[in-house]
Amino acid sequence: MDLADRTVGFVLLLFSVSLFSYYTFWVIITPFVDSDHFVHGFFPAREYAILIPAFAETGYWPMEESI
Amino acid sequence: MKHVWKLGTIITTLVVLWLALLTSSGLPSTLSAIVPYLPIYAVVALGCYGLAMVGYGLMVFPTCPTEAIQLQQDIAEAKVFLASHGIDVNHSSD
Repeated sequence: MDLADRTVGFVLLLFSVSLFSYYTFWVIITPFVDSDHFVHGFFPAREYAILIPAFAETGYWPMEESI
Repeated sequence: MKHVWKLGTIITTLVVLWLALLTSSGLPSTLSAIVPYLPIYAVVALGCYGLAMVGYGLMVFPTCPTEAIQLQQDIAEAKVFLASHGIDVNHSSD
């Protein structure tokens, strides 16, 4: 039980740190990078930087509702 | 000052600052590409911080094994004492 709690905690920590780093890089650093640099391939179009959190955090899935 | 008013003042100030940056024309093009994304970035950052604090708390939470054993001993002792005084300790009350 103790070890299971610790691993869950560690996974949460790792996930939140990587999510934060990826999102920070996407929103703040990519505008400073030349548009023909290779890192832009790792990130979707910047409109999704607003769309994905907005839909995820409000719990609204319009695509699923149409199913 | 109540905490909610303090929080409201801080948030209002930040919103006004953000709107001023949004409408100003003297910004380099890279900075003006970042400014519209700042509120949603703040919300995502807050969420990640909360999740990280939960994960970290889970990792360092102390389980107190000696106190757990002591508690079981106290429970057994209390059951013996109460049973000897005629109180039924095996059935739960309404």
